[in-house]
Parts: sequence; C-alpha cells; structure tokens
Amino acid sequence: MRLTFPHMGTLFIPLKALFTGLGCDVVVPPPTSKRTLEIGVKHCPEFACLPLKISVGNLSEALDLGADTVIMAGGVGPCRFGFYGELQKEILLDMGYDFRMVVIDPPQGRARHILESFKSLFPAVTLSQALHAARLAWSKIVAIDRLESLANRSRALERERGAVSAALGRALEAVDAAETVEGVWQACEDGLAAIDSLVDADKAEYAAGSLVRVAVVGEIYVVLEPFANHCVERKLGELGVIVERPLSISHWLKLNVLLDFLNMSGGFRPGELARPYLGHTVGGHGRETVASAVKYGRQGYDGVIQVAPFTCMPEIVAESVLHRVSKDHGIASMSLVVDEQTGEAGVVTRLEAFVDMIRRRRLAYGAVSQRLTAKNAMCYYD
Amino acid sequence: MLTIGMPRALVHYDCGDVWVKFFETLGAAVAVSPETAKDIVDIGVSLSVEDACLPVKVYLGHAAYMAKRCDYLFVPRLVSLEQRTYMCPKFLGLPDMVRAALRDSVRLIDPTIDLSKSARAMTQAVVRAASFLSKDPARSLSVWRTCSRAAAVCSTEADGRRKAVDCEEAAGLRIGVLSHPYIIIDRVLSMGLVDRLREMGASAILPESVLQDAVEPHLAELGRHIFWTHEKRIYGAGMAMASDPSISGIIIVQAFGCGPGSMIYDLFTRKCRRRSAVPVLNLSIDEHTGEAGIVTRLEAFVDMLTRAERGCM
Repeated sequence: MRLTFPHMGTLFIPLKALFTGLGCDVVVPPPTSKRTLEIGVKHCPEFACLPLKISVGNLSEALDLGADTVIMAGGVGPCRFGFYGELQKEILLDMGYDFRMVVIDPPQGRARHILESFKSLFPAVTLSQALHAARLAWSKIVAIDRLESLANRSRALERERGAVSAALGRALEAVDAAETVEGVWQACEDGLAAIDSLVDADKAEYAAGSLVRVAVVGEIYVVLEPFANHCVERKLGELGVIVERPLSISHWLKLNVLLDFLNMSGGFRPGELARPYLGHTVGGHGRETVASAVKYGRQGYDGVIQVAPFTCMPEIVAESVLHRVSKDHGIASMSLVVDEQTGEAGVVTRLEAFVDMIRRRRLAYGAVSQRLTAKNAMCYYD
Repeated sequence: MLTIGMPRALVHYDCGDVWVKFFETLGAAVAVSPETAKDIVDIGVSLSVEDACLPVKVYLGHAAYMAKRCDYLFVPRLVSLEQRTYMCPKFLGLPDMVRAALRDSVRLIDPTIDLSKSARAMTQAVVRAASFLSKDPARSLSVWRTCSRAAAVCSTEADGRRKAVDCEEAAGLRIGVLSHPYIIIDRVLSMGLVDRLREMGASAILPESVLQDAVEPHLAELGRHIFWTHEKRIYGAGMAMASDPSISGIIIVQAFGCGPGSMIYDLFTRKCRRRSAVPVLNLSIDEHTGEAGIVTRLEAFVDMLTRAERGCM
C-alpha cells in the first residue's frame, strides 16, 4: 500500500511520521505549485472553494508518483469540506486514476470509530506501535506550532530581512527528519534558539511596545497554507507587524477531536465570545473567526485579517458581521478572499495599505489600548 | 395590533406559509414583502458583502424593505429540518447577517429551528417565537399543530394538482429543472424560467414534484450521506430524472458562488454523464446576469431538444 494525502501547510510532516510509523509506504505529494493549482482548476467545479482545487492537484500529482491509496479527513456538515472526499474520488476517477479512497470521519464523541477505521486500514499494526507513531506525530505537531508561532512574532524584529523565515525553514526540515520524540524536541529547541538569535531585541520600538499587532484568522486551510494565502504571515512580518495566528494543527485537533471526549477547551470558548454577533455555529471556522476577532480586540490588537477562500459559506457569514466587532472593539478588520485568480501584487498592496492605515490611526489616536473606550474610535469607523 | 414582517425570499419558501398562518391565528398582522423587484435586488446588493450569493443579497433587500413597515421582522434561524442534515451555513447565520446589514434598526423574531438531534426542538422554537404574542405555551403549540397539519394537507393537494398538470402537458417536451425553491419560484431570480419554458411548449419538472420513492434509491446508492437538505433532494431527483426516459433534458439553475450547489451539481453532472445521455444545461445567475443571455441559451437548448425529439440529430 502506497499511501498519500493532500497538503495543508506543514501538516505533511506529522502525517508522514504517523503513517510511516504505522508501517506504510508514504508518498508525500510534491510541494504545492502553480502546476498543482492548474490541475485542480481544470478538473474541479468552477465555484468550488480553493482548498478543493489545490487538494485535487496534490492528489493527482501524488498518484502520478505511484501512490495507490488516498487518506482524507471527512466531515458531517454543513461546511463543504465534509463532502470533499466524495467529490475528490469522483473527479480523480474521471481523470482516469485507479486508487483506493479512505475517508476518516470526525469521531463526534466516539473515539472507537476512528480507532476501528485505522484498525481496518492497518491490520498488522500492534497497539504499542500505533501509540508510538501517534506520539511522534503529536510531538511534531507541537514543535511545528511553537516554531511557527515564534517566527510570526519575530519577523518584525529581525536584523536581516528574510533571516527568520530561512531559520524557520531549516528548523522545520530538522523536525521532519527527526525519528524520535527526543530528536523532535531537540530540533525544536535548536530552531527556537536560532530564531531568537536573529532578533534585534534592542529595537527601540520593541521596548516602547509600539509595534503593530495583527491577528490572522479565517478558514483553516487557507490560513495554514502559505501557497493559498500568498505567505500573508511572512509578508505582514516583513512589513514590521507582530503576527498572531490562533489557528494551528494542534488547536484544530484539540477543538475538534479531543474536545469531544476529553472536554478540553483550552479556555477559548468561541460560542460565548461570538454570541453578540453570531448566535450559532455556521460550520467550518466561521464562528471561530468572529470569536477570535473579539478576543484580540479585547487584548488590544490593532487589526485582524480574515483569510478565506472565495465562496466559503461560513466565512461569508463571518465577514458579514465582522465590521460590527471592528466597531465595538476598535480593532481594524480586513477580509482577504483568495482564489485561483488572486494575484500576489494585489495582496501586497492591500496588506501595505492596511498596515499604513493602522500606523496613521495610531499617530492620530494612539494605540488601541489607550482609546478603547474613547469616542473617537467610534467616529473613526462610522 | 402588532405587525410581523416577513421577507419573501430564501427561508420563506421553506416554511413561510405555516408561520404566516401561525402568527395570524395568534392575533398578529402579518405582512409579507412583495415579489422581488429590481429596487429590492439593488438594496440587497448594496447591504451585503460582495461574496454572498444573489439569493442572500435578495433576502437582505426584502428584509430592508420590510424593516420600515413592521414592528417585528421574522427571520428564523433554520439550522436543520431532519436528522444529520443541515441547511446551507448562510441560513444558519441569517438573523446575524440581517442584524448586521440593518444595523439593529428593527427587532427580530429569530427562533432557532434545529431538528438535527430531535424533532422536539420545534416545540421550543414555536414557544419562543410566539412568546411576545401569547403567554400561554400550550395555546401556541396547539395553534402550531393545527397550522402545520393544514400546511401538510395543502402540500399534498398541491402535489396532486401538480401531477395532474404534468399529465396534461405530457404532450410537449418535459424538461427537468434542478434548482433551489428560493431561486426557481422567484420570477426575478430565475428570470421566469418556468413560464418561458411553458411559452416554448415545454413543461418544467421541479425536484419537489419527483416522488420520494424515486429519489431514495439514488441517495442510498451514493456512498456518502448528503448533509444538505435542498441539495439532497436536488441530487436524488436529478438522478431520478436522468433515468426517466420521458425527460428530454435537464436544466440546472444555480446562483453564482452557491457553496453546496458547487459540489452537488458537479457530482450530479459526473454521475449523470456516466449513466445517461440526457443533455444538461447549466445556467448560473448573479446580479450581473443579463436576461437576453439566459433567454438565448434557453431557446437554443429547447430547439436542440425539439430537433432531437423529431429525430433530426
């Protein structure tokens, strides 16, 4: 069995570790490229969201490399993602591929289902082998999240443009190559130290706390996949912005898998935070987007950028109410909607304008924390 | 007397009639917005985020129109009408989108109707929706039961009538029209497609008029459960039409950017192509769609079907 799965940012690193640990031959799809997207756009329905198009491209390229089994996460609605597996299967069949498709549905409180579907996939694997593989994969997830999070906070302070991103890339490679949990932690610590050493801690503005802070929220796939969001985190960082990205693979697993049967919420209760603006879950990450905007607004962040695929239903609902969060909490908001037509230059221009706007607003009214209750913030948005 | 306004769009075509009857019986005046007109579309477009589909924009237009003409606006949050099946996410956030668009200029009645786990949730929704009209939940519920039973009888009668009409028109071309009720019933959104087909001597068969017995096997055959109410119906009915030799062609009418539609219509087209040779025309509409373009494509499609029927092709 030669197994493959679609890309989502750096998710391939833990998935590769997991399935290799389970004794599989893993074919990681080639890195997402323009060609990948072209394959997807050619064969997917026009109005489908960007992640479907890219994932079909990934799978096609992996099947070309000799994979024969596709693993895909499922869903129970109402977000379209839950139907991806079915449609990917039909599209790839029409493209002439011969393969097996395995869709793993979320547990919905019953961990047994997931375990059973894994059991049927890998009948020869022992429990201790499986636990070992899962532990290694989990350590990689945590390491990646820590590294990316530090990089997002450090780019604005780097002495040399691009140095942090380069160090992050090297650290991710080391995490990918590590074969033991200890090796992963070592690679992680080394990476964190390397990124830290690139930061100019003496920067005057750092001490004064005057750096612009922006949170990147939205639909998880386009937030985590730099190819889809045109490296929005890196671009913001290099514009001198401290970037916070609440969505990550570990966050997603905690919220969707563990939360169900361990009741782990990590203190973040999207329902409560979003309620004044959005009274019900709308599938996908729509409610999390609104809740995060509220959360960062309260924490005094300057702005929030919502990244979403074009025609994404949950994010359209979130986008419709985001301006109210913005007004109530004095946090600037921008929606970056991406599809295969999105041009790099357009994204750069909009990000620059957004950051410029925040800087000017700061000059006029001071940092958000100083004027949260001030009337002028309201006037600004009306 | 209190006036309750109801936008004639989107959810109204799923459950509007029952609620009109319900509120009227409880002693409120109910005003339903007029049929969609260009000015309503324009208001809706101006109030909405640009990525939303045209039916949502039109809904906001109707809501804005009614907001000035009523005390309460009825915008139900239709989450789910049956187990494990949901409405489109935009239905789930509809009251919030209306509040944001109208900037709280009107009070909303927004009961959450979520029957995905249990049908009893309807009780709560009814009592909550009626709470400002009647302090007696038992009365609200009994009125609701009467109204929904009457509506069920109505729809069965309508089914019967529709079948009778179908038989009468069986002489002409029979064309399946796959679309959401809120698009096809709205004459502006669908550009009067059903009427136009009739003028061309063809009759339109809608997903709602396909019998449930014919729909089920096609849904069961699919490996995966379709978790959207309308699309489940559309897919099953479409496949049933594709295997019905009396249907000469199928027209898909979808809103530009329709999320569930993008998946299900594509799945349908692929499965349909493998099984049957029935021609499929795919029309998508948004606020920029010109009537002439749609009419030309429709005429060409019907002409083609007519010629095929005569054996000229």
